[in-house]
Amino acid sequence: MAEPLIAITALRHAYLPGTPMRTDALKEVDFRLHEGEIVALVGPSGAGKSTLAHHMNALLRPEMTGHVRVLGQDTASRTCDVRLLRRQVGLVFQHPHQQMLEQLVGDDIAHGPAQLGLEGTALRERVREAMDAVGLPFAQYVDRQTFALSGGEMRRVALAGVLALRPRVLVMDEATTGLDPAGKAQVMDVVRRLHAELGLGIVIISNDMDEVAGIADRVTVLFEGRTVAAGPTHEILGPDLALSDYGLLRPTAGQIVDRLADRGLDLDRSAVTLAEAEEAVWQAIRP
Amino acid sequence: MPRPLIEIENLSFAYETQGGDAVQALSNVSATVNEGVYLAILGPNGSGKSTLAKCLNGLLLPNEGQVRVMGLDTRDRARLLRIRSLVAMAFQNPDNQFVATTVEEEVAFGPENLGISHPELEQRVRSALADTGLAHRAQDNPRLLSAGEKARLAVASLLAMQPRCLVLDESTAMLDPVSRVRMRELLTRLHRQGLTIVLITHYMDEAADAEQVLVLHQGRVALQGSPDEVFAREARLREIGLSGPPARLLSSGLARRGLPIQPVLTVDDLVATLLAPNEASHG
Repeated sequence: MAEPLIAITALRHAYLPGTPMRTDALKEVDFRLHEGEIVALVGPSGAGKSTLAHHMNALLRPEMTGHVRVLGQDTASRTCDVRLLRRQVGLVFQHPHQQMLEQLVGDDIAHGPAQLGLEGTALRERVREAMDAVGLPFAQYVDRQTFALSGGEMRRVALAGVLALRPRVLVMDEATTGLDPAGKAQVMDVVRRLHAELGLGIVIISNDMDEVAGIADRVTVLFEGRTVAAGPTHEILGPDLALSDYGLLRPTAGQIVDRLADRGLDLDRSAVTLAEAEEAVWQAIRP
Repeated sequence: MPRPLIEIENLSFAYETQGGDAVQALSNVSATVNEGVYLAILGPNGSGKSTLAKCLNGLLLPNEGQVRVMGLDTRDRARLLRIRSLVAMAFQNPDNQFVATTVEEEVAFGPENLGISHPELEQRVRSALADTGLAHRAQDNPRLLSAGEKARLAVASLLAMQPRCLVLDESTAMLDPVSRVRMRELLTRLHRQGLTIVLITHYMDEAADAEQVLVLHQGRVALQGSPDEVFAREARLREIGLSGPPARLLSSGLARRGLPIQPVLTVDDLVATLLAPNEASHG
């Protein structure tokens, strides 16, 4: 089997070690992202999701125990090419304005590739390519002011800025939180397309179990700094794992079939999406 | 007769940009929030929801039109303190509003500044912490709370001021699933106790908890009515970029397949509706 894009093993991470403020964010974390996969990382607030995301492109590096191997590089190693890694693994955060550096959309997206030495027509084409990928028409958006964008547009500009570096892996840290349903759907459509057309490996960190159910191939559950479950989406979000022990709930579709089953309806409880729940209910009670 | 608590009349508001241009955030919005009602405000990003929320207690003042809280015009500077004590507001990121070093002091901060004396102050703090399920965290530092506890602490601090109305601007957006459920239960409980609730949210299922729904689109009122009425307008909602609560999507999907059921809004109602014929035949 090919080496995973990201392989994190028995990782430990503490903030402010050796001080009274010490916080053990990660205690024992295992995580895998394989080529061509969309993996969701879920867990209640404080579980360590963002800390783990920061390890995926060497914004943080192992200082205690554990191994982090990303695209063939060991991030703890002194020979690790961090600049290369940050280009290859794009991080998209929840607050896009913290990621916006320029006043105009085009300049903002060009910022990263310009740092890499791209200029002139090549740079312009790179920006156009990234804007195409997120569905922002170049002519219409390139000279727009970043502050005047809607929430959904801003997320897509931030995503385009990351894509302009042509990454191989995309890590979306709560990148749709606070977006309206149409904005969430837009961003998720873009993610699906990037995955299908460019073959990017994708990590989605989200508190929205319905969103996770609709997009992820596999799910990893973090709880109090530990990996407590990992597997195919239907296995982890299915009826067998007690997600509530980890401050989580099944997607709404799963909650509905569970409630019906608890009340005595004989139906397939594996549903994680509304379409699957509709089918299960229909099969159980069709006239 | 329900008594109006907040009256919004032909409200328009524009933000000035650095370049001197004006961005029209609200145009000619009219609505009434009656005493004791639970109102959800929906709308896509940029539709003016947060601007409207900030107009409800005079954080922003109308360019045109009027907002009155129990008859007091929010533009009347002399009444602003009274208005803010009637209509309290919680934001998405509660970290920005914590000032004290313990949960208890945080909750006491507001009423203490109002000059509330000691036995009553203690009583208010105890009751606000009990209502929000934070009594066991009274001596902890607010910064050490989980996100869900922080959101509830923000609500507790407002409750201690004994407002008539609580406005929550996407206070559930950042919460994990279990914390979000707890927050919804808290709001429903406070509403049952008589508090007026205005909840701004992107979650359609939360809007189904409310008694009334107001949908904003491009700064105007697009839809207004009971959750049943508003979510029945499927085509219009889709046009605006919104959808329905999951239970409604599922029930209308089943209805389209030929199951003789009416669309419902909540998971509770869906389960009851689907099992009703079953249980009738067994009973």
